[in-house]
Amino acid sequence: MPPTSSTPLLRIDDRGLFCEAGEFHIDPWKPVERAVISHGHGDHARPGSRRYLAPAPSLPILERRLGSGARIETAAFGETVRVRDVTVSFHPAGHILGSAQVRVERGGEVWVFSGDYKRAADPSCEPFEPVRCHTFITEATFGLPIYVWDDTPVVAREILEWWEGNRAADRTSVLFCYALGKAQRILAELARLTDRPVWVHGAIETLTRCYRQTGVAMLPTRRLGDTVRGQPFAGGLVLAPPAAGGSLWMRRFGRAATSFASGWMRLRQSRRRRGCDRGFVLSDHADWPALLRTVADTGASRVLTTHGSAAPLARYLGEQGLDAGTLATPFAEDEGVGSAGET
Amino acid sequence: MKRFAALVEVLERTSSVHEKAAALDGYFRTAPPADAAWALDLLIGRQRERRPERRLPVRLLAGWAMEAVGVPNWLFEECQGTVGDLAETIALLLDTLPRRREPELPLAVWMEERVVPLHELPAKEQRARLCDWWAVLDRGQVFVLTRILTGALQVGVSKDLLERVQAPAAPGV
Repeated sequence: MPPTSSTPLLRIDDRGLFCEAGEFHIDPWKPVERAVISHGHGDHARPGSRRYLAPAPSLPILERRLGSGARIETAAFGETVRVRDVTVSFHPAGHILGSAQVRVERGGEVWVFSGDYKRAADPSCEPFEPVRCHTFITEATFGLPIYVWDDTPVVAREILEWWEGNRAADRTSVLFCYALGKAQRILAELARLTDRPVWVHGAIETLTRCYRQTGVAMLPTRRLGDTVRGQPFAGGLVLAPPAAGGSLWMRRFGRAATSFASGWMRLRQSRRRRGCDRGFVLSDHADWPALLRTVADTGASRVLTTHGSAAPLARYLGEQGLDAGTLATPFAEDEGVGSAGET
Repeated sequence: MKRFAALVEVLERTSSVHEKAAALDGYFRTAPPADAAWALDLLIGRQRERRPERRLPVRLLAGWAMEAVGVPNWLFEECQGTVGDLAETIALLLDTLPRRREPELPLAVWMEERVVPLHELPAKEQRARLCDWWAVLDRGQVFVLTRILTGALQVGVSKDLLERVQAPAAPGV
């Protein structure tokens, strides 16, 4: 049993997930004195706080996200940082480059905030490492048993076959995906299957550079903004964030096939709503079996679920004999789709 | 069955009439006549004219699926609420089951030797057979089978389109 204390080590206040003993917030949604950041997606890393503590490999991404004036201290994965009465450490979450789970310990009591995570292999980021704890706060974006992912190499091959099919028909393949994480994962997965260059939206190119800096092997990319008028795209693959796909923007590609890569593409109604020709089921979040496996791996006797299907996951875990509840946070299901920048 | 499920998947996922027509054309050009006849009937919702007017009760089928994957009733309902379609919910949930390999059977054999006779069997035997089939069929095939067993296929393909691809006349059509 963990040592007991009167106040919980982490709790929600009006600014975020607050650690009173350490006087910091984890992934705060409003500016705070000291912010501990799990990863660089916009719903977890927001500008405006006075000081930041973040996992070291996420620094290039955070500098872009938070602006050059932000005071960011970093810690390597596994390195312990003393913050007032607690110790804090980051452990790989496997979600995107540099993404971490946050471990907080006070007097032998250990809490882990998972951040966003996945268990599937991803050549573009550090693999998830389970961390033993007493209380585990887990994301539950895909916390229903209908969410089960196919192996990533299978999906990568589907993407390549779709591209090849469009190429043979002299069409442009436009694949919509989140600009941070998903795009680079696709570029890294495809690099195992082909060496053809890919056109990318400006927002993706900027972040892809951060990945290249850390040595992630990806397909060569060409920035769409660097193309000249009348540039032929037929047969090529274009990666763009979902917000880019207006009809005017699409016109330049001539005859094009569109697709979307996301865990939500598992459901037919999501595929229809998205209105693309194809949906590729590729998620940077844990699927149902991975959520259950991870909860078991932590050895936690108490589990708090947050975001997505938090309530059903908590109820299911409760029925399995765990002390489980939900934690209300405003984290979005993925990074905001409205990405800045011209193509 | 696998080829028919693949056809249904294309018809379901694309909004392009051109692509639907190409998929239908590809299927009917190469399918054995008996399969083509069943496919046509299933696609235009005419299958009930060719077999006794029977359906497997939806709740019964859902209950067997829940037992097969160990999902409680309330969680199944959460899933169905999210998915919005019973056959799809069942197909997605059963996706976690281990599959064993078995020789592929044509659609006509599935329909005539398995699906149609199933309706004559007692519930216990129906359940046993379904569990056996689930251990073999992939997600797309489970979706198609569940739709057929519980009513109609209901995929987005019009009679006009089917006529346009000129499905070959087959026995019983």
